[in-house]
Amino acid sequence: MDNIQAAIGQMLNEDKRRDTFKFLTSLTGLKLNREQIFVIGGGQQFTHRHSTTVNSAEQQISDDTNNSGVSMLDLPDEVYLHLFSFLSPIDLCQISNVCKKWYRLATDDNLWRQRLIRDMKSWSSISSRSNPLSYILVQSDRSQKEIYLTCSPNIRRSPNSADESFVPFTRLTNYVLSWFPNSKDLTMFGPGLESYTSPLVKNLLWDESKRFQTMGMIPGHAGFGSGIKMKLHSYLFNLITLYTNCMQERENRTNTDRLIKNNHLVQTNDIDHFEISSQVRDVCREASGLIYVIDSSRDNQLSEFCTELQVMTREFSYLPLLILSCVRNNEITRWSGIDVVRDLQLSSLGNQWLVQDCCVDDMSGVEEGFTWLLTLKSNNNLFFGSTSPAELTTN
Amino acid sequence: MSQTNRHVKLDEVWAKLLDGINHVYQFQGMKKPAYMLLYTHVYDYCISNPNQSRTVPGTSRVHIGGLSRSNGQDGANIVGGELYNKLKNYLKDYLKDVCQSGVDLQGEGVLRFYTNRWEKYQFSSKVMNDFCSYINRHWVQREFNSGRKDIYEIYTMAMDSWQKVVFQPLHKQVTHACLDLIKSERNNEIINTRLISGVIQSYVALGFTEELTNSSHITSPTLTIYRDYFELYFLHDTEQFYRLEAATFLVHNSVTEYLKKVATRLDEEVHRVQSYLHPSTLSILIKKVEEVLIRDQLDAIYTEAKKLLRDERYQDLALLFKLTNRIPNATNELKKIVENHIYEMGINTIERVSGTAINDPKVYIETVIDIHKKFLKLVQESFNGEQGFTAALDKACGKFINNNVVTQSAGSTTKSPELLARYCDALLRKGSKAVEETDLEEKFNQIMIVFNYIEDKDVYQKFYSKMLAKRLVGQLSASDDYEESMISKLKQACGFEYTSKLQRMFQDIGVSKTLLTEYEKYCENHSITDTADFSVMVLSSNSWPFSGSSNFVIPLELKSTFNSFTEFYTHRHNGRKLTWLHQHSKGELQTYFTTQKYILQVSTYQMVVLLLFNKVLTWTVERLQDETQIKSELLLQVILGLLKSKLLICTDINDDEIDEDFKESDIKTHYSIRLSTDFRSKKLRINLNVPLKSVEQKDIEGVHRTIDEDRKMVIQAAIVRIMKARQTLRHALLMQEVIQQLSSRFRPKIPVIKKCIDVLIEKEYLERQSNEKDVLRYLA
Amino acid sequence: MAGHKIKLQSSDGDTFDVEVEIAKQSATIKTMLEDLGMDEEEDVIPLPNVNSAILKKVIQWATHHKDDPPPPEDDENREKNTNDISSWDQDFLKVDQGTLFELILAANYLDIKGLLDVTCKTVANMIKGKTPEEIRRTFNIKNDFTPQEEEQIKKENEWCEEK
Repeated sequence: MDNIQAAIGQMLNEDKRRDTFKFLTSLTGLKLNREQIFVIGGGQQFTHRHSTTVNSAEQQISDDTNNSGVSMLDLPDEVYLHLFSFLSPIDLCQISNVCKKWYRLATDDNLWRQRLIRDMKSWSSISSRSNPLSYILVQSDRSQKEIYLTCSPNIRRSPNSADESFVPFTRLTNYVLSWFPNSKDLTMFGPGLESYTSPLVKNLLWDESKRFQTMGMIPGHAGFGSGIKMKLHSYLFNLITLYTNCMQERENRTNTDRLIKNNHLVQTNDIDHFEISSQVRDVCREASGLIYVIDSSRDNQLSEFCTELQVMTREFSYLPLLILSCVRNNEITRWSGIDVVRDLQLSSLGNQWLVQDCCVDDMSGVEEGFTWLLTLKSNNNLFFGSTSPAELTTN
Repeated sequence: MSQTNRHVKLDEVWAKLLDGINHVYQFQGMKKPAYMLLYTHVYDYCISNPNQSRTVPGTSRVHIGGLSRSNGQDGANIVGGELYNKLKNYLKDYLKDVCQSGVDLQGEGVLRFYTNRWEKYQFSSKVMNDFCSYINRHWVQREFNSGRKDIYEIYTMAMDSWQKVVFQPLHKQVTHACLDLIKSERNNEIINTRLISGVIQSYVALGFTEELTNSSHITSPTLTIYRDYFELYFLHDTEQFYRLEAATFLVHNSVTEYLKKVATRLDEEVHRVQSYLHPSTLSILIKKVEEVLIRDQLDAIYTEAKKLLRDERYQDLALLFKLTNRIPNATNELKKIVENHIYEMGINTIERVSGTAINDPKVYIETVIDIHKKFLKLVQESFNGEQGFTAALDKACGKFINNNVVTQSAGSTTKSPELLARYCDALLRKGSKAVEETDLEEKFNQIMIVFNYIEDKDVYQKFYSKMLAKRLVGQLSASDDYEESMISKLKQACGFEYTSKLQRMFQDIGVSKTLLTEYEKYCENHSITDTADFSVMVLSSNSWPFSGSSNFVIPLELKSTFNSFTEFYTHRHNGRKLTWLHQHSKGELQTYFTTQKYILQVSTYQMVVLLLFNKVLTWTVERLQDETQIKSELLLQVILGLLKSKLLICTDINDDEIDEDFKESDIKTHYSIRLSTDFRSKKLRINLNVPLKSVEQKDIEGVHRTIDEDRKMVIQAAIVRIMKARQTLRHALLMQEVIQQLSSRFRPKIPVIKKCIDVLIEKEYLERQSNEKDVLRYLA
Repeated sequence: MAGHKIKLQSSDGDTFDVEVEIAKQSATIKTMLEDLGMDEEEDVIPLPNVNSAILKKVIQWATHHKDDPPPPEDDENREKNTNDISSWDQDFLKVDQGTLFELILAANYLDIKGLLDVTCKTVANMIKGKTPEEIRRTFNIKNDFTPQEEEQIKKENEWCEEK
């Protein structure tokens, strides 16, 4: 705890009021959770005690006297790197505190780069702000460790930006929000609605876990833009689903057929060039978020799903975009989030986006995706801004 | 343990390694202890990192707090780069010397030098790579992972050095020397192929460096060096060599000789690639050779093909085809040549036999069969039975069979089906010249081959059914099995409808037999005894190509027989009308007026006439006509026949007047006819029933006449069928469909179809759409 | 070739007869044999970086694992697991730290991937879940940071938590 005080003192001295504030907030929040206090205090005795055999071996070794004269520090760097490759990212952060040599090795760029390349294939959600590919694209001068920690969804590491922790304002917006009868219009479309993953919509409307609640219908114009009024947590939204054709037409056709014979994109003179039809454009103008659903089974070629998304986002690059990367059930081998980012060329989009892996049968991941979209700070609407999911749940 | 603490400086380790490396690159054997020590020196050097030593804390360069910083200054310190560079420089110097000693060599000298040094260098580099593998494992791997593309594993680096220092200056003379050797080999000299294969192996092994962007492996072999520095020139040389060879060889040799040479050359080139070039060259090389030696000589080859066909040199033709077939689409022309040849041969052969063939079905059909057989053999032996050539054969046969001198002189395309039907008749008739059973089956198959080429299959059917009818009624069939076998073949070829009448005819014969036994029983039951001993066939009138005959007064002797059968039959089948076909009936009479009793086989007409002489011995022709009511024209023929047999005598003519030239028109109605009471004959059984010649001739004419009428009916039926299904249809499309539907029967002529459509419009089966003139509509 | 042996000599001069197939688990020895071939009369192969005690342990380990399938290539896509140490290996590695590190060095020197992995995993398990101070104590490492440096590093990592 000395360390904490020292840190606070240092921050206060340096007049970093915002940082201090954040720091304290975290502390109060963390009181509910002992383990996390120890993270800050620098101790971690109660975590990671999973393997008893390891511990007994460890005991025995540390009790022995080191009689051969070879110590840990005699190992060459390359052996250290190999050894560290068996540690988790959190472990690596922890051990950089041991000594200078360990610091140097535990922050090794190459070590983290290999880790990033390996781990990003297993991340179940990637957003435009945590897109590792964008760092590669711009050849960022950030260290690989920093990129990793920023991008990994398994590590919560808040960037040091001020506005996100402005709690009273958050409360205000929530309050205001509850008075606003206008809920967000979310436009949902994409090939995943018209393939093996199509039961997604049904499962949303009749959610067995009752997280998603159906409130009513809203009418559309000329067959377009009708939707379902829904509620997730305290958020109301209208889910507007755009199919490219009627039910019978949707079955039994390939994605290319689907692109050509559809109602919401218009093919222009070029064979490969499409534009949004006017009805769809009208619907999207009202929307405050786009949801693109794809079937990410390995049997599909992800790059086939690129055209439709490119056309839609070309005109609506200001709308936040949620990509639900679906599989029907967990037995199906899927493309990973990073594959989606690469093959749908998301790094080049102007939208804020999130790729969220989800499974249609058990609806895992769907809630996370919608929550992101509903709570996202939006640049052009003050009242819906400035909330983050973490803060919302504590309130 | 002190090794890990000791500091091995670069110079120190290099001094220790240099000896070993020199050893290795001077191709002296190496012992395992020496190898292991070299490995250990490298290892010791790499793991002794001066920067990480505890004993010199001052050198530590750790910068705390640098999460945002430029790449790679800190982090792990992996040793090996400096040693790597030293090795690289060593190899560079070493290879410069190597290159120097080879730069003046040419021809086989340079090849021997290059392959020898290369093989040794490769081995030495492998050894060095392996005792320096610790550098590969850590330093090289790390450099590679952080994205450097110019660092390879040491072995690959050694290959890269060879490529830059030895290969680049020497490749021209080396490649050139290889090509010279290959040229010598093409000129039938024996060469040392190992020299070339060594070079090729080297070029292939050097191919990795060009393309290293593939991140998964540090060395990813490509063939770029081989392609760019050898294959390109090799293909160029090949083309030149063979272009020249083709030109010179064809001056002195026939195309067939040339093609034999080409086949050998192709084999040689395949063998060449297999024995010392890279396998990827095979397809591109062969393609090149084919282009030069075959594709560019196609005109000469086509001309030769015509010659070989004329000379019937089928084996040479097979080779010609095999080679031509290597060039895409080149056989199309060949197919045309073959088709034309078969057609001409067919036309000419038939022209040669046309004199006899026009009236001799056997000559005609067997000639056709022989032609087909001969060229089928050609297609199979020379052209591998390939579909395109089979089609050419079919096309040619179809053309000459349906249209040749014989059909032209007969004035119609229907001559071929007629002759084919007559050929069948001859085979199926009783007493046809002893055709063995197995032969007959073979003959049937041949008939079917010709049949399939016949366009007017309906004509064939007409003739065939006419002749079948005669065979059945006259009991002239050689065997029911043969008849059935032939019919089933026709059924297979043209479908049930085509043979349904023929089959019904068969059935009628069977039914008649049972009918006859039933009639006999009937007679027994009704105690009818006053009938002649007779048999009868009841034929359904629409299956049989017979028409009713002129009637006559039934003589008393036969009256009860006729009546009882008619009664029997109409009783059983109420409402059916029996028509007697007297012209096909016959019977036997026995003479009682002669001392020797003769049995006369006669037609019913003859019988009617003869039986009159039971009443009176002399009749005038006029009276005979009154009594019998036989049409005079027919009666005169009958009388003439009997006069010629000397059974009757005309008292108004001298015996010797009745000779070959005596015609029925010479018999006048007032002439008296008398029974020759002193009739004599050597035979006891006398057949007077010779067919009336006018009948046969009329039959054939009749067939031709009815065909056009029948076809119109068939076309109209087809139109109605199509229109009923389609309701509306464009004129042109309707034509097309009619032609297609009827193609298995005959080829309808377009004006005829048009006429039929008009007829149907007139009959209000169809109408023209009011707004679109060329669209027809079906009226229900 | 079964039963064919080679002689390995430790840094302190002891010679060990080892079956070729066992010795070949060392990639270093394997490639050497491939390069230089196997002569009838075998040289003694010196291993100047491995002492008798460690070499004995290495041979013991290699003998036990001689029929193992070849270790899989490092799978780039998989998280490395440290809980899969066989009980034989766990018993085998119940040794003092110095021996453990010497085994690591020997495995690294001889390029025995299986042994290197299992020893490194053992050490990794000793590191996991410990505070830096505990780690220092365990491995007898001196904290060579100034207090300011230490603070700085804490700050770098303070927002890192496992979700």
